[in-house]
Amino acid sequence: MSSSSTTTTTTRLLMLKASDGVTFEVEEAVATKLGAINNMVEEEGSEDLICLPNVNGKFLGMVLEWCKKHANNNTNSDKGNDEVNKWWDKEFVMDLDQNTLYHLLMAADYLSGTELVDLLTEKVASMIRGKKVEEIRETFKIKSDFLPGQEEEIRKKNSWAFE
Amino acid sequence: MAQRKWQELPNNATFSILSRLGSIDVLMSAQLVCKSWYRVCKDPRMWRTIDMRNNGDPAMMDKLEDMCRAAVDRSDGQLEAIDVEHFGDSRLLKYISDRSRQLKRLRYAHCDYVADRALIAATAKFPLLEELDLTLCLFTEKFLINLGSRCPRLTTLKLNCQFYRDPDHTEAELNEEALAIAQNLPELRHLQIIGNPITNMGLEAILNGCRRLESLDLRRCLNLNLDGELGIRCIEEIAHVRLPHDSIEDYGYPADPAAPANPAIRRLNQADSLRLLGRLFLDVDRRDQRQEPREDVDGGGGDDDDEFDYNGYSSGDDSLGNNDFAYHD
Repeated sequence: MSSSSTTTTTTRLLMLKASDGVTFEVEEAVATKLGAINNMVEEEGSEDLICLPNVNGKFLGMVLEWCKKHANNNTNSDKGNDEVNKWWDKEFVMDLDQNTLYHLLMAADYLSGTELVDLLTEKVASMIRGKKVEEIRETFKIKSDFLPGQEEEIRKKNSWAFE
Repeated sequence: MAQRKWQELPNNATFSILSRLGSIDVLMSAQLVCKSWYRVCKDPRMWRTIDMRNNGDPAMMDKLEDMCRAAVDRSDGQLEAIDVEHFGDSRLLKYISDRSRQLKRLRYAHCDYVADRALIAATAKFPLLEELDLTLCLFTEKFLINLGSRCPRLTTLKLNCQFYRDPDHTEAELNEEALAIAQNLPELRHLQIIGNPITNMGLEAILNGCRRLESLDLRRCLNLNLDGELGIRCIEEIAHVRLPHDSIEDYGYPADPAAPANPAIRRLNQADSLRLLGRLFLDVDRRDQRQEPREDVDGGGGDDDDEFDYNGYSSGDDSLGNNDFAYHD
């Protein structure tokens, strides 16, 4: 937002390079929805090629697709944006498999895409709600890493929750 | 190590996930999934909002109260919003208010047994309170007296109940709450009084007393007649008005006049509720004799306090703190 380039004249293009070498050409206004890229643009000035060694092409592509949709929706009309965005967000996360969800979340977190992190963590939360400890571990393939006795100790201290 | 990846998410992502869960889910399961989740679940920032909404299962009520106290303890004074449903009583309110000076939103819904005195004492300890929701709670208009000075930032008030028609009530009785609101809360922006017995007289008082109202929800206030000038005045003066016969689909609680399953849920007239509460709360009986609740408004001094010290409850300290596990990463 604070960038000096105007929204009315030419849109500057940035080149983003993923860890596997895949590159994406993206409008600056779209890419700067990601906090990390916004910072790089502001700090490093007119660098047109940005390397992102922690995100691979598949997930960077998905993150950028999300940014693009939101950027478009926000310029199209002023009223009803929220509704459109909400509907589109729902579609976006509906059929994500767990692996994709995880890597997207890692990518969004790394790129400081706050709104996207919110969307994805809400999706994860919805997969946790109402489940028991074992069911959550099962769902996310998490192995308990408590030391022997620790888990028992917590259960005892929080007996109101686990009886 | 593919199977360990979810517990190795960056801390803020884990925080973002777990803080979206209701407090009951966190306390009953999420915190025990793995060490990193447990650590996040002990972070006081996780407990700035405590959401204890539940399905009202009677077998759970005692547990929920214990959990709620533990959650308040974990918030370590940082609590900003709390949502208690079904199990809240005067003691719990006292417990919360003694530990949560930062509270901005209090929702106590479907909690039958909250004494006016407890509400008065608690609100005196919430100087930052902005939103108060007492949907389907039993109380009288007495706690509204001076509420505006106890909680000067209070802008949203929800006092919904189930509409109840009693031909024996005088107009003054029907408007007790409305008049107390009008007299004591001139700064209100949002008022929701679904099912209130208010008549046109009370509504007029609210329009005159609460000049800053932006929204007013009068659904199922079936003693109102808004066909005439008063209805026009409402709509002209207040940006968002919901009328007595508007749909209550989004409300989710009983509001239509009917015999409620639990007679305690229906908010009764003052005499009835005092009688009912008197069974459970000594202070109600005492207030009957005192007749001067106004004087107690500011925290009720010294000897009154022990009324709330029910067996000196303290939720066993959870000594398994953040430092109990050694993290070497």
